[in-house]
Amino acid sequence: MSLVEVKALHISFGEREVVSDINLSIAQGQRVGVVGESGSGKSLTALSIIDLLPEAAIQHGEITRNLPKGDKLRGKHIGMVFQEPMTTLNPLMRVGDQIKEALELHLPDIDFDSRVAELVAEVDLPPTTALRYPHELSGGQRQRIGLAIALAGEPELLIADEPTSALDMITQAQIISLIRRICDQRKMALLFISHDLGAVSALCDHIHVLEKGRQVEHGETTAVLKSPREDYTKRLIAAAKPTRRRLTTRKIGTPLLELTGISKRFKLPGPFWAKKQYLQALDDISLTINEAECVGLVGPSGCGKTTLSRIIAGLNKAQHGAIRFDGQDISQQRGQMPKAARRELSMVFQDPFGSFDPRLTMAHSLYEPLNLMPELGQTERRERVEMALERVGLSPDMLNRHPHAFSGGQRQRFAIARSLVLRPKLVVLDEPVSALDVSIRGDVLELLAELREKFGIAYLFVSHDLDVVRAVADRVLVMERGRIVEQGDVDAVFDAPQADITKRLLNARLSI
Amino acid sequence: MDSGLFARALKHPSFRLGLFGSAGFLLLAIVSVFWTPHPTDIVDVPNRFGEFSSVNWLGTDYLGRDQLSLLMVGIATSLKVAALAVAIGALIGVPLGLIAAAQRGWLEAFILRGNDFIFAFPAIISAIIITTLFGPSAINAMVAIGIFNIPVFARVARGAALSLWTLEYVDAAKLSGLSNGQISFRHILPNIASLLIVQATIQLSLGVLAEAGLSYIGLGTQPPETSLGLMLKEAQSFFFGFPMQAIIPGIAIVLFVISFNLLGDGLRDTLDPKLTKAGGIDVAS
Amino acid sequence: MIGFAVTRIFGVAVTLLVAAAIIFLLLDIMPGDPARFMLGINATEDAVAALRTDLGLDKPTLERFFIWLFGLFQGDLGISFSQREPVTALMLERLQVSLPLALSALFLSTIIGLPIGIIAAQNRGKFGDTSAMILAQIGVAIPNFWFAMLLVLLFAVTWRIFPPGGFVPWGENPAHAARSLVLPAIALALPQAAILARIMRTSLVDIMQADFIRTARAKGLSLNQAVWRHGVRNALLPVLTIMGLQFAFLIAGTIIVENVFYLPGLGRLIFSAISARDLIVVRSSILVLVALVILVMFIVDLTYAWVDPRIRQGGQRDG
Repeated sequence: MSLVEVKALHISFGEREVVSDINLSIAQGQRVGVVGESGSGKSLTALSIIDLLPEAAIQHGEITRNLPKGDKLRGKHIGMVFQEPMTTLNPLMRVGDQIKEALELHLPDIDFDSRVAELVAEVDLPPTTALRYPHELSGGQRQRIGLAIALAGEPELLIADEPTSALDMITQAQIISLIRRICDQRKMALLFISHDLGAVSALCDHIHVLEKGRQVEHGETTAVLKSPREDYTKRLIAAAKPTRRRLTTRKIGTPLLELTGISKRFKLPGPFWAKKQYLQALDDISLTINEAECVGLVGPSGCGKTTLSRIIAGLNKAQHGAIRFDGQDISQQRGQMPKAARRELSMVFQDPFGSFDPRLTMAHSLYEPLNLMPELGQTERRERVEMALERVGLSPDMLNRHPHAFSGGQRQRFAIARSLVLRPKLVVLDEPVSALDVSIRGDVLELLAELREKFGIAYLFVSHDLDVVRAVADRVLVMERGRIVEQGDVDAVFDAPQADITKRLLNARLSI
Repeated sequence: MDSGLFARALKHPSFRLGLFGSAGFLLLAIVSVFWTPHPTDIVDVPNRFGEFSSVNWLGTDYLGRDQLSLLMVGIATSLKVAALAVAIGALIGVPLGLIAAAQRGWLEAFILRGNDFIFAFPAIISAIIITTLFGPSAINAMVAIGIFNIPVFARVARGAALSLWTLEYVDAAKLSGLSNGQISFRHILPNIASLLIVQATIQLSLGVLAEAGLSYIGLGTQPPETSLGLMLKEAQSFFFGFPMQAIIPGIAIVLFVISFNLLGDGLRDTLDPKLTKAGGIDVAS
Repeated sequence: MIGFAVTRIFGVAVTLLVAAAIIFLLLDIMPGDPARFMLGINATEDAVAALRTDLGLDKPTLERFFIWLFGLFQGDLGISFSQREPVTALMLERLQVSLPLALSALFLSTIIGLPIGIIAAQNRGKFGDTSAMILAQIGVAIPNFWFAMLLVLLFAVTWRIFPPGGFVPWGENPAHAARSLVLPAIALALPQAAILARIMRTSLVDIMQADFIRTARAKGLSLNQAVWRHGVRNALLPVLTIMGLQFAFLIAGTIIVENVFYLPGLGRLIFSAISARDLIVVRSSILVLVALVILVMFIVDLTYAWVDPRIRQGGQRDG
């Protein structure tokens, strides 16, 4: 007999139906995954099982829970972990007390403090963690506390709603193996919800694929992965597999960008009389990028790769060290980066939605870089912008529209076009495909490769995704705690990693 | 303000009510500049404390002047004082807020300290200092209220601007060689304008209240000019005998303030769809 | 927490010093010759010179500032030029009226405003919420001194429950003194309560959407339990900030409302000082008012830090 049985579930808000006809069953101790992109209705399905749908939601269909009657459902029989580790805990309460609160509700007769200690130990945290406040913990630690709260009532079913999506790769892998271990030990059933097919297939025996509120396909994980029936599933699987490497015929040239001994530290806030505390964001970084070369930059979150790429782009300044670009020293200048260097160097950002001023037309945003070339006439300006658009496969008549008229993929094309308007020699790409839906990533990577092939642009490709880096980069730099710990030919580094962090990053991948 | 916001706000019932009320008061104020039912500077003592009548719709005051005419002029004065106080606050406060957000560092710290400091000087304290030095007048009230508006606008502008400075289109503008000042004017200010307008309507209604209080205790508008607060001050002496003398201007103030508050609330709700989202979680996920 | 408090105390000291300097600059240097200013243009040279010596105006400016400051530390605010009495004594007498008035108004507005805001948020969109918010909308728009006049008309003139005005010192008849402050306190408190109710409601409605409320419910708490145990405390944070600012408005309100009830508070002291051009009284009472506001903001800051661990640990978020 199954623990939870969902039959013909429909959920709507007013006239709009967001979940249609979902059928799902979870047996005792079974691990079931639900995969779908944002808007697929997967979270609402989970909330309806734990009876936490928002008030405005109207639910039809049958949910049978074979659980003891008369008891509290939430917390006692079904525990739930949510996505955002930053906001799911009460910021004003010690985390141990938040675990204790669940115990008081469901197991009023036990010794709370020792049970809290056991739960904290179960999620692999040191005992003192219970006395901390949420803001003193990292994202991964908070997610572990969330898990401890969910486990406090000894539930038969754990629902995990994108529990790892906001975490970095290494932490994600740790949390997933923790969930697996706990489910095994407790013989607890799991409903795991994610947009990430890799994460779901790493954990679950059975998967359901959702698209726009409908169930597209379901079955044994291995069977679905091996022989998917529906197009949508096939696309998801293709996107979750490592990207194919694109061969380039372009010759790598002479050194274009040279960094020597770049260091930067940030002052940490504290009382004015106390000894100043610093965070060493970059520690003696030296690197070279050659003409027409694509250099990948990887590392765990907080390793300093964003700071480094912003310094290279001229958005931040280093405190020590020298930067030479195209044979010219650009680090000596006080204040702003010289205009001549700015013209040769541009950047594409991660978030295609934050990249454009929402009140300005695309034309305004695309002409903006030409501010650096006041000598150009009106016709030349238009030629440059139109040519840049043509190169990324967009047409000039789109220029008069506002950013909200375009999809994420289109905006990222616009962002690339904007970086090409100045015809730079080096483009810094900061996680250029991470915010895009998996199905569009391939197209954008293809475009980037093509531009490099045709125009010999060099890239610094910053990413947390090792597979993407392997697919596009010639050389890779691995960073940890502000230092470059390993570098070399991308295949050589990834096939025979030397540094510990490289190995851990490679092991944390969840490709299928 | 973009027309889209205005159009969306029009669907909001309290915004419509507020717009209707505010427009009515504005109209009365403008008309009073050119025409009032009776002159307000002619004293007619035999006709004092007149009841409501077809000649003097709202009666007459202690000098026999037409209450409706006084009310119209009073509304104009109160509106003028409150609006100019908002202008003082916005014109000084918004640039300070923008500079603080753009420059960070010691300049920001300095502006923030200054802000907190001015918060310790409620309008009435500034008004006491100014009046001690220069004597009472409507301009004093305006300056005193305006000074208090400065940190309010600086705070709102900085808070909103800070979140924009972390966005990537601002980085893109920096890469295009735009200076912090250019970025503040091209990318930041237009994007926080609607927020500032909401704040302006709130400060306007607070300004009307503050003007009334200051004039009532004699630190604001002085006779022979008139304002809603001054009408209340003058009515106080005869209040037990002729309560209507104070009740009418009081109701005018309440309606005036409610109108602007509704206007501001409507705009803010329209700007902040978070509160209207179904049950708090994104319906689509 | 101690580190936070020490930093703040240092800030308060600097702010007070700057405030004193600015007030001194405005009221002692701006008028040119304060003695001439106080006596008016018709005074004889001799009288002006005498007053100048009397006030110590022949000393250098900086020295005068420090004499004033030093006096402040010892609780000596100078001698009133118009009333020929120590300003400290005058102020202490007046504060017996103004301070209880402001504090009881703060107390009243809190115990009325916050519960209404919380209940309205819990019943969002229902009849109780809508009517409470309509009332609050009106309350926010009512000038407190006008409301005071209406209260006098009803409770003192028509029904004769409370005295219409005047004040008997606490020492003579405490019950009567307290009774004289009831109407003024209500007049001050209700409009402030309306503001608090609105802010409390908005803040709590916001917090009720927070992820941690959902976590609390998933834990097994009912919506009400989640709101009371987790929501209210978090929602109070923005309300606290507003309450600090409100105290400044309450002090202003006290000065105005005293006028309606003919209460011998700080307001009347200041107004008579203004008309008598008594700069000594004006500058000291203003400094006392500003110090009061700064003190309350300091208390609010400490409370904030006491409630919110993120603030007391140096304001560092998301380490």
